[in-house]
Amino acid sequence: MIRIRFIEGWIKTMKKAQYKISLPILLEGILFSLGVKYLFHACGPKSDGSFMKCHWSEQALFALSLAIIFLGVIGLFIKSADIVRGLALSLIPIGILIILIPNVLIGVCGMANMRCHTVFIPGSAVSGVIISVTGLLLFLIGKKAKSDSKNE
Amino acid sequence: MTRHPHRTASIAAIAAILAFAIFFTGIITRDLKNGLSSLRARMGADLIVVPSDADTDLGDILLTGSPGYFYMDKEIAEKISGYHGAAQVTTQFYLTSTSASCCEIPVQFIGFDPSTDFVIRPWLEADYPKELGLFEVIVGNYVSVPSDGILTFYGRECKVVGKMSKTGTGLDSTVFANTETMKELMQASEEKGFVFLDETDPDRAISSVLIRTSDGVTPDQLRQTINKNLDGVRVITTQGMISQLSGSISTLSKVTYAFAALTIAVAIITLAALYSAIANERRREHGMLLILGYSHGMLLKSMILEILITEMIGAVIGLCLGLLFILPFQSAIAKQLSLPFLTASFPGILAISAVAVLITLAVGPLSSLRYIHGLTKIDAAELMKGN
Repeated sequence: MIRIRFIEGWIKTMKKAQYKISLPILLEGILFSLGVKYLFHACGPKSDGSFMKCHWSEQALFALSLAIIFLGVIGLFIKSADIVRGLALSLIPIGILIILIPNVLIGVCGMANMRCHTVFIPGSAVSGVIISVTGLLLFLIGKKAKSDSKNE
Repeated sequence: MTRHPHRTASIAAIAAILAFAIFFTGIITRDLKNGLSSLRARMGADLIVVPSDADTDLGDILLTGSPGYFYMDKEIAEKISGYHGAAQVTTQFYLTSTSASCCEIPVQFIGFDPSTDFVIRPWLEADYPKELGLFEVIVGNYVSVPSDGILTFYGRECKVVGKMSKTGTGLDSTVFANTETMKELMQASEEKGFVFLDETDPDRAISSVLIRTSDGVTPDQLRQTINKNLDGVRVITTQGMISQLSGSISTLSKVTYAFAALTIAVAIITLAALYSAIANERRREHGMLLILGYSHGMLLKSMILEILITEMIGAVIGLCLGLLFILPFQSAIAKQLSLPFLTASFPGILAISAVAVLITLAVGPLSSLRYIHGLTKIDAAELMKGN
């Protein structure tokens, strides 16, 4: 009986506004981490086993994806909707970093027809834009949900 | 529109998909045509002669920049120069780099003889009008050049004196040098333990012979003469190469146009069904408006405006998605197609975007013709009676 009540309680809390924000963040982080590693990954190792610059950009982006997943997970356990909205807002600078790392901060290989230029940079740019825009939208949705619940 | 947000969103989504499909079609076909024009402009020769046992296809070198090398004796060029119909003859020397400071992958070298060349110099004129000196190179657009302008190949430092504008072909990954520089690099590669030449004398090795035919002699005629008199060579007509590519590009273009046409047809059919449902649902509302003083003309204008606004929202979303997902991945698409592919200029992209928006806007009223026509037939009085 206690277990059923717990599940019912959990389902009720899932409908709360903060879960509507945290779950998309978590999903986004998981998808981005899979994308960076398997879909739009950078060039592979050289014939001597060493890595090129683009590999370290990829690693940095993977680390950021883990940070996004962490934000999504902790958001599930935070009761304050305002704090969770703040977590959503933090996606904006993360998204900007995702764009800057391969283009400016670390960089990629020299030849413009290599995979890191043709796939990795566009993929990370698109992901960065989506993550930033999603963060802003989730922040705004959270604000609207909060004001709606206040009016009720 | 706001009373039925889900329905409005559905119509906008259809418009977005349509705009995206048209934008995609426009960009891909335009880039392919640009690439073909670029290659055609760079084919100065009518015929190219290569060794028949060449491992790498010349097309791969020219189109995709896949590094390759093959050699034959210079005697072949000397013989061809004497044939009737060979107006201009020049030689080229290919080499690949495996340990270059600029690149982590091999690049293609093309060495040319400045005294006889008529193919490469015209390309380089715009970027570097002077003659290339020893260890002076001009690089393709994709080759990364350090700030000091020095690239090291096989331990030899080469000064980059120019960078070509983008061609959309394999030439973008190529380094151009004169024959003297190429011989030095060949020697340097042997010192590093790379063997490119087996038995051919390095001073007499060439990779290809490029020929321009004289007036009155067709490339096919000269090709037959060469095939008849020389063994161990393969003669490629550049016109044949261009025609083959043109055929491939034409087929691909037709497929993408068919895809766009199908998308337009599906959009029209789906929207027609949607608007038909809307027409039935809003009959009383329209009748009420007519009773309140709206003329049929005003009703028509209001409905068309509503349709256009919804279509416009969808078109803008579709275009934004196209700009986000297609433009950044053009290079990846080009690599997969292995066809000449030159990205459209900004005015070209604007023109394609405008066409996508216009077609999407036109589809809305077109698919709602029956609905709009029905509006003109509404008899408000009959409608309020419940007929």
